[in-house]
Amino acid sequence: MNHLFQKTAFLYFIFIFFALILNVFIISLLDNIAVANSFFTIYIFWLLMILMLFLISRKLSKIEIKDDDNV
Amino acid sequence: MFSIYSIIALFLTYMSILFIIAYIVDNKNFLKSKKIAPYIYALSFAIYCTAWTYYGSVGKAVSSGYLFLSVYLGPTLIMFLWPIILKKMIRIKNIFKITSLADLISVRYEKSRLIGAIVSLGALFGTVPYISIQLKALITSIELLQVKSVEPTYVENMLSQNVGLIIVVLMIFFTILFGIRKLDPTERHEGMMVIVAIESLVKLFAIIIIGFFIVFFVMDGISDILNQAQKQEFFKSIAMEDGGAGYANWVTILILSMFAIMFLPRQFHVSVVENPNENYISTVMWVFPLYLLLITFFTIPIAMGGSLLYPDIGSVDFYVLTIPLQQNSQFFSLVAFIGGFSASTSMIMITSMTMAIMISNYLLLPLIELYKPLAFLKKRILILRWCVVIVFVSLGYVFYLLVSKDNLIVNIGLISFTAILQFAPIIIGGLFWKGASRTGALWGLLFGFGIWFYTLIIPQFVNSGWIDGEILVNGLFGFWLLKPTALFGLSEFASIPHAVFWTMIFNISAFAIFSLISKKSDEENKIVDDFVDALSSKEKYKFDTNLRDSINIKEKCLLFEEVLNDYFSKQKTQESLSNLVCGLYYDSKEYINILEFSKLYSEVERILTGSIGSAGAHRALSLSNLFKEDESIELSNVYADMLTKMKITPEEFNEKINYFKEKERLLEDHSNELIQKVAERDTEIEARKDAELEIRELNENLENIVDQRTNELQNTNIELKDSMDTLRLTQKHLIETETMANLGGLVAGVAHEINTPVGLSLTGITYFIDRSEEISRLYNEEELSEEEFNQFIKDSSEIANSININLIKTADLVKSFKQVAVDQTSEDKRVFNVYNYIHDVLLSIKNVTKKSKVKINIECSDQLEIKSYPGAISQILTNLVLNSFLHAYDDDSTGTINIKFIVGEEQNEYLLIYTDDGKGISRENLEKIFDPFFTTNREEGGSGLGMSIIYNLITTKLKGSINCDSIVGVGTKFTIIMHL
Repeated sequence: MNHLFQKTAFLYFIFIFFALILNVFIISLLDNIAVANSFFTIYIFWLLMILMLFLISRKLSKIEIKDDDNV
Repeated sequence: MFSIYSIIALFLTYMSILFIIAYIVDNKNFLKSKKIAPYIYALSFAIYCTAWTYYGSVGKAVSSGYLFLSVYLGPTLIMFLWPIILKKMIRIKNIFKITSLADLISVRYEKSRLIGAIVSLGALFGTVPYISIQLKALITSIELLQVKSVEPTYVENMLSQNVGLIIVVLMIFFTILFGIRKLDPTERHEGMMVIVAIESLVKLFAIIIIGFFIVFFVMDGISDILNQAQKQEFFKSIAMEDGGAGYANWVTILILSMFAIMFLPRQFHVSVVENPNENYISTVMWVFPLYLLLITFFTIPIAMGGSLLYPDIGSVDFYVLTIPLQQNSQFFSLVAFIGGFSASTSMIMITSMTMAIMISNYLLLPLIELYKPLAFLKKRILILRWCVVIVFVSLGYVFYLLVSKDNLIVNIGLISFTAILQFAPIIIGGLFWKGASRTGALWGLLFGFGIWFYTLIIPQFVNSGWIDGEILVNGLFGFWLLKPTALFGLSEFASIPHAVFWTMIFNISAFAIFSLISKKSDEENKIVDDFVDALSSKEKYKFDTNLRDSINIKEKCLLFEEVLNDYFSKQKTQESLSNLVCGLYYDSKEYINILEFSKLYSEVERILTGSIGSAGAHRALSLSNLFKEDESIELSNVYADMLTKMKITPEEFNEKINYFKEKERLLEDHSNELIQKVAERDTEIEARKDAELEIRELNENLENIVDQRTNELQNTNIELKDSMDTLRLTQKHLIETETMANLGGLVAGVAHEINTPVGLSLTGITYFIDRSEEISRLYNEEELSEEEFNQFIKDSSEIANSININLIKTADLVKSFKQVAVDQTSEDKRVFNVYNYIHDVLLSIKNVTKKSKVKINIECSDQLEIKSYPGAISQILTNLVLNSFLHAYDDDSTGTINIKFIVGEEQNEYLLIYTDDGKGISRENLEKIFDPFFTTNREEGGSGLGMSIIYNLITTKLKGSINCDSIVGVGTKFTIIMHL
């Protein structure tokens, strides 16, 4: 996983993946369900993005710290 | 609700507290803590959330539903790319000592002052409206919070009427105090960043508290609010926004916000210039999006709650403050005000500070250098920046009065975002495309800002009545294709998507086309690699050559001083140069070579860059002719020599550098991997060693403990064994003593019993001797008559019978006593008649029993014979009977002892039941009677061993058990079971 998160291509992929899901799927969903449901839907999606960012950042910080130590 | 005095006092108190914190942080190296610093860095990003977020988003949510969320989802999405983009910008900042956004762009494009100036102007146009909405939020919130007196004093009246001016003056004062107290080459302000972080927390907590108050105290929860809003059709869908152009708006704002989070001057300052460590990016990546989520969570419920409660209230932007005010809650109103106040002040201060750096370096300094009479201002850069802050904040106030006062906060904010978007193509292009050139960047910026001004600012001027509305209806010069809001006939989009579309089309096209057709200078080519390959190489290359030390370092330092003195005080100039010379280890040298001088030149340029920007520094040193002609030639020759020695052309040299860079990168990657693996292995080995050591220590300790315990146990065992042996000896001795005591009693009994028959026999035989002597004398004297002889015969016969009887009796007694005595000292088994034996035993103690009136009954078959240990039974019976006589009966009391010996129910089982009707044994003594040495009669010689011996004989020798029941005053019963 460390190597995967370190790869630039993966970061581009995950950015495009979430951007597409948000702009194609979530956004159309928001207008077609009850307001209360749509409210929680968008925030749960947001929370998932944060979770993914957290996982990537944890892996990155470990790699970066090692780099620093080497320097 | 509050007087103007209270509000100003609150403002001053809050800012003073922040100043004290900033002062402490600046002087105590607070941010050295690696645990806190990343979070302070992450929270400083929340300067993105201004009054627009705090107040304006609610207004936008009322008018466009979820559309406002795109402003915060855009930054969250772009976070996935921050390890690439932001990290690269930070690396470049560290290499080139970048101090502002204009610096970054200017340095990338040949250190062009012109581009820096355009960027600074663009940023100025983009941020003034932004400042104006912060001032609007501050002024409006104070006006809402303030209660005007019925009869105000002159001062109160004056303060109330000039709230805006007071705010402007205070903001200018605090911006200078916090951010521009002194010149710092790095332009880093740790104290100010801590303040920004604190204010970020304050506004977050404030909006959450207000959200809770409105949602759960004023209304009945989020679902209830949203359901009601849907029923009453208050909630607007994104699709319906701007007549069906909502999705275009959504995507546009999403893109705008992605770039705004990186390229707004204040965001660039906190994220790049103020970055102390590039590793902190990983913390920001998740902390900042989480912050955005939390701060916007209650926006929709507040907006819908406000619409339901107060649909006719004036400005929907300020529901966060007006709802608590309408609810007459002083506390929540104050919290809402402080939150909004924090959101505005930190933004105004940081933006003013960054704009002061950019404007002074790229607009004012070039002007000063152009007009010689203004040259004295070169040394007054700090004061210049103060002036810029004053003008900048004042411009924001003027813009507020003229434009923002009557517009939604969010709409003004988006105009600013669109301006900032114009930087995105040339920055992203500059970071990742080696073909991007200065000319392309210049034209891209000019086209981008030109279209921005035409499509967004002109309509604002029309709305404000400054220019005729004709241009909006018929287009420029009456040409319909040039309508600012429907350029080239594109009328389907709303104003912002429309402007973003056309500005980006023109900006990117011009940037790409002019970059491709223009030729880059050598200077630009040198910088391109540093930018594009910033993440793959950390240091520049060093050349090792044998050059002649021909340049006098003191002379050159004097020349550097002349240049630096224009911008710094003499003392600071000398101090900086001295540090530099020492740092390069030139202080011991009188002469240096041309490459060393080139290095010194670069370092001085860096120092100057910190204060006046990269382009300004480059220009100042270029104009000072520090390189003499021969030195320039020598430097060129050195580089030419290098190429010649390497036998390559400059193009090949570049290729080789690239090749070696790539090779170095691969080697570095490989080396890093190896180092990482070695480190992991080392860690593993260390951990294993530690574990082994620990286990070994534990084992050693365990062995020691086991040995110690074993020794202790062995010692204890030996002691116990000794004690047991001693006890056994003692017991044996005591038993022997007891047995001997019993035998003594037996002997006394024997003596007493045989005394009478022996005495009678002795008397009889004495009488017979006397009679025999008399008969003998009479016979000798022949005087014995027949009658006398017959009488003698008769007497003799009677005496003989009497003696015989008594001797037989004595013999029987001796025989009985002998058997009992033998049995008591013998441990052999034998067959015996139980009844007779009990009788004999009782006979042996008759000397004791016959004195008493207690009667002893024996209940046993006279035919019963058993094979057992008669000595043991004798001892048991003797002790039981003697104990009864000693303890159960008084001397003159009567009673009955019953001894019953019967065959048990099981094979070879016999029961001896002994009862007396004496005093009985108390309950407490009953439990102890079998304990060794327990006696109630020690003063009269009782040893306390009798019952203990009985117990041991029964349980060991006779393999049985004994039970004692006793009732005080009724008697005692011993039930002995024997298995023979």
